[in-house]
Amino acid sequence: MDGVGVAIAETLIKIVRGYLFAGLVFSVPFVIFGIQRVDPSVKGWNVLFRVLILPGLSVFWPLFAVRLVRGKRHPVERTAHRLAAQSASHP
Amino acid sequence: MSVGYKSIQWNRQKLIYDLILWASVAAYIAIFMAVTKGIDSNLDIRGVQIRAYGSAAFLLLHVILSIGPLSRLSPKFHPLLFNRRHMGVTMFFLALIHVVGLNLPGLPLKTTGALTWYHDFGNLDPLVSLFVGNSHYGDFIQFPFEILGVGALAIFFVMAATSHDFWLVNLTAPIWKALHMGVYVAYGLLVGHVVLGALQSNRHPAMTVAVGVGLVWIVGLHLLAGSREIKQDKATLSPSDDGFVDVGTVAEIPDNRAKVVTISGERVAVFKYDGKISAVSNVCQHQNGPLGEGKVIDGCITCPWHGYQYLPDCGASPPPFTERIPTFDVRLAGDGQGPVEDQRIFVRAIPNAPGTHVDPAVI
Repeated sequence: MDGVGVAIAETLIKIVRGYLFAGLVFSVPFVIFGIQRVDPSVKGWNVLFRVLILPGLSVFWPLFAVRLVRGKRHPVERTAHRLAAQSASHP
Repeated sequence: MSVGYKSIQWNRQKLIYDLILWASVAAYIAIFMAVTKGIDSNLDIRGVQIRAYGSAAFLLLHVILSIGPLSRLSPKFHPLLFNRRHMGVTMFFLALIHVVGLNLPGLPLKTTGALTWYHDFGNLDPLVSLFVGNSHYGDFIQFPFEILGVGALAIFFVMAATSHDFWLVNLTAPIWKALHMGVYVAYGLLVGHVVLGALQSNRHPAMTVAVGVGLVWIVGLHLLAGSREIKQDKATLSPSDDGFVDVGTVAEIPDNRAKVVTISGERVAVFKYDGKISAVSNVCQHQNGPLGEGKVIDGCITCPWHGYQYLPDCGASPPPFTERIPTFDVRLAGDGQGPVEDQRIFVRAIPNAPGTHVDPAVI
């Protein structure tokens, strides 16, 4: 493949690596200090649990960054019955 | 159930499940390598290892994809569903070893990955070489099948990385499930990866037949299970003027079991237990499992997938757990002369907020 193709591949790989690295930089302090603010079910200091969720946090870190900044917790799922119950109680 | 997260929720059954899984994988890889070397002793062991791990992952993916529809067709397969996530994570690691190899300090088992074996010979970074080594992007047969494998591996990574219950809670079950439906995209990519890769370099008819049979099995099984589900959901019940839906008679429901009907765009599980009738949304809050296919154990509706429990009269998990599902008002009606089992069950079409107490209808 020509040099342009190599340059495109190198750039894309750098972008993905940069995104994941930024995620890791956010996620390590987040699992230590911030995680209980978005999910109160995280209790105690289970190190292995925190390590296990690190790869996923490195991918979805913008979601948790936004929740942390806005002071929001995880949402409740939206199913047809939950939505119907909600609209019935708040017509 | 979410009173606090554990790293890995192992119990005796899950440990046995995992041990059988890992022993089967190890036996497959050993047999694959022995048979392959037996057929052609001149083959390089590193190339055989790459094929062994890759084919193990592909085979395991077929098992994983079969469990869902088989469980829909028969509850006998529910035990396989119980710990399927560990199977998925195992499959991801097999695929990862296929690509990057295994060379951990202190671990005697070492293998070479496809990335090193095929792409680490020139000046280019092997990862860059992976994308540009074969540039026939406009050709079907010569298409760079490695890219298809990379796409599948990326999907498997996201799935494995989000396999913990933490992700079910934080993404919510519907979004988590939608994300994990990516496994079907990954399967399609892998079929392409195998057809354009391994089947082009090894054109033995048995391999082509095996891949074809696997594809037909997976597609056929899903069509069969899916057609049953669609048929059930099409039978949506509509309420009468008073807002209640006639869902059938008491006799239709076995003790401690449920009848599942579709009301208000979703399935409702109508349970009979202790001479009472209660109705809840059929959707478990954990992984949206079918509560109506479970039973009442120790006074609680128990999800057949992972054992999450809810009190039938309020749809709340017993303390200290915090899950809640919508409930439905229920009433019984009969002519007062026939047997109680002939009484008809009426369920209000509009659900109550999750965790709302509803007096059960007494038979």
